[in-house]
Amino acid sequence: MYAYSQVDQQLVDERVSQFRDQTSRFLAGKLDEDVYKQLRLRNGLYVQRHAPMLRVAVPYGVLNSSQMHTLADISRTYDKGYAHVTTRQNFQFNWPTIESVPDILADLAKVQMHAIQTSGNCIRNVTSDPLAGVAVDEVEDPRVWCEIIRQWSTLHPEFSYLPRKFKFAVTGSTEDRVAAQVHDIGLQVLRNDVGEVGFKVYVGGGMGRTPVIGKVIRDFLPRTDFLSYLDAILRVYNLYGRRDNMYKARIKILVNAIGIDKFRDMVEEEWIQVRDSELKLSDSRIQTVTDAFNFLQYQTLPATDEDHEQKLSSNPIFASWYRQNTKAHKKSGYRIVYVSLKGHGQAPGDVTDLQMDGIADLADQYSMGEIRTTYSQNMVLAHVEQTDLYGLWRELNKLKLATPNIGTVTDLICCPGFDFCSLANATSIDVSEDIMARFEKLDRLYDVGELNIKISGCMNACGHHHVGHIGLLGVDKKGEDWYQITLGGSASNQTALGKVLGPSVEKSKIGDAVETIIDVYLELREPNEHFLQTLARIGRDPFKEQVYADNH
Amino acid sequence: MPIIINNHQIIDDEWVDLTIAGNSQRPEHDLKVIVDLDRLRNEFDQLKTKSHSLAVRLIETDSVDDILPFLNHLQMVILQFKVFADGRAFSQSTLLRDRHGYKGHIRAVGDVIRDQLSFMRRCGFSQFQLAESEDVNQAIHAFSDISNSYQPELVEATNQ
Repeated sequence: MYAYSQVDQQLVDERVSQFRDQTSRFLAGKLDEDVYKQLRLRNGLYVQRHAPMLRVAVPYGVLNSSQMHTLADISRTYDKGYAHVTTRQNFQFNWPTIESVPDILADLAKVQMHAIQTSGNCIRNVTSDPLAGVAVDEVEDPRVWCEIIRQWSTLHPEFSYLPRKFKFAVTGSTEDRVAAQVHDIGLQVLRNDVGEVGFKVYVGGGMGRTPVIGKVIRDFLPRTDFLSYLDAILRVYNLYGRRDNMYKARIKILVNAIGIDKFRDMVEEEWIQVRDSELKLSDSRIQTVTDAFNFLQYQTLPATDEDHEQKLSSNPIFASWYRQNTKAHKKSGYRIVYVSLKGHGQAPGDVTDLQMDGIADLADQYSMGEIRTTYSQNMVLAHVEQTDLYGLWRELNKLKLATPNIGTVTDLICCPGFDFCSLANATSIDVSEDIMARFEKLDRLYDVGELNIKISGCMNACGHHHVGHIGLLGVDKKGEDWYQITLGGSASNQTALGKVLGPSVEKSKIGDAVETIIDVYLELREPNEHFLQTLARIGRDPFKEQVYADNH
Repeated sequence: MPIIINNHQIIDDEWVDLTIAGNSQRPEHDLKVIVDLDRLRNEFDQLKTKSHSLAVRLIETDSVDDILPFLNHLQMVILQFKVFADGRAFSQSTLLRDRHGYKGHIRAVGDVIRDQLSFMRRCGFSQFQLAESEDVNQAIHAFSDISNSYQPELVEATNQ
């Protein structure tokens, strides 16, 4: 993975000192609370319902084992012994004190980590494909481009006080695993007809109160123009994005207001001016970043292993885990392993200190010391030799991290909700627990198959409910938690926004409603028909009739 | 309020800001005056002959393109941060320095806080009129909080 240069390290160290000074000025009453708020947000520090929350950056979702041990240590020393993995591949600590945050940041800096720009109205930590570099459907490795964005966007003097937050996602595969079309800028690395590397650029996607699917602003951007084009988009946004209303300030609103064609014209006009500036990426610059990655070397391994095949046929539980939680690796004899953070009784995405230490040790033992975090709030060990799978599975089982449910109903995405978040209208974790309990039996889970449920505790949509096959949105009705149901969303290549099924449902009935929707699907689906296909074929009415049957 | 020049010197302000209510007297000879965009456009010839030095004060929604015809006659461009979290002046300054090669001073006024001074300087600002709450003698050290950066450096002001 990418190793810090001396410049990277110095910048992170100095940012820690700067933030320590800002925090001590605030605590001494010498720094206005509103000013400190903007400064702390740009360092990942929120003030939540019960305590501050610190969001730590995991650039494009890649960690090494010593970083994971540090995160475990932080959760023990400064928090309550657990952390939370977010849909943007970051880590959140829910219980640090403000006073301790500079020390946490100093601990992070020692292992080349930070919390820079994980919140605030700036360019946020960039996300990417958790299977980068190992996916069989990968066209180009997106990580080098993520790192180039990370450097360019870090403490950018011009773009650190944007109208609103700004999120990048980069994929290099044919299957979109980063939800590129619901980001402020989504980038797909690809090759043109003559084999040159470039980017398809989506702009103006996003969730929140006004969900919008990103529009293509450029079909093929040559790699040498990568930064100058991004710079042009950001400058147009910084100058012309709305600042009078925070709910209308995202770039999606600007793009929709003036139209993608006019927006493209403005960007291109700006781009012509900066295209041949220092932002132009030379081959040697790209190579320098690439070299800093020290990409892993694989052994030549046989495609099949007799012992492994025997274990698969003799142990059905191992076999279901293998089928559900592992994926093909681009190198023969290797396998990609998902570490499920969606075990029964576990808040989705939560991970304890002992689990973090355990995952770090398993990464050292089985996966070249590397761990990835995923958009779906799980983790990935991306380089496991096939012959090690059984041993790894047994160890993951001991850590309660081998629930064979990746991609199923119980692998749901969920924001922290009212239990932690001061923005939330309703709880989300208990709803997810209810749903997970209803589908605990694996036969039933596998019968339903691939189905994404996504839950947000408020319309800010951190749980991405708009793009859930089934989406649940918490709303506050006279002090009670109710949930609006949407059907038909998708964060895949065919990104779609779910449509509201009907009136919102009270908390005591939301689990029943979800189960009813799934029962209707099971009853009416044709063989091998995916939930979204059934929905497209039969429409929402059969679901609606059953869910609201009591109301007739 | 004293002004920080570049990142090291503290001076008293010698400019008369005609955009502030109460300062609306006609400019005198040998005076350093600051006018808004409208007045610059409408009274440019008059201002040019009467005033010794001329500066324009833009607001966040003004386009820097509008002052290009006058740029050679402007000793200073003032860009404002009505609230410090409104970052439009960062782009305005970058455009003046980088795109249009402006070599005069660019002054930040308004809600100018020490924690943004380094960003401002890197976007081409060369003078800083701090917010009331700031201590100028402490703020002057904030330029070196972060000693390196990933972004290209802009050319600095030359008419000091």
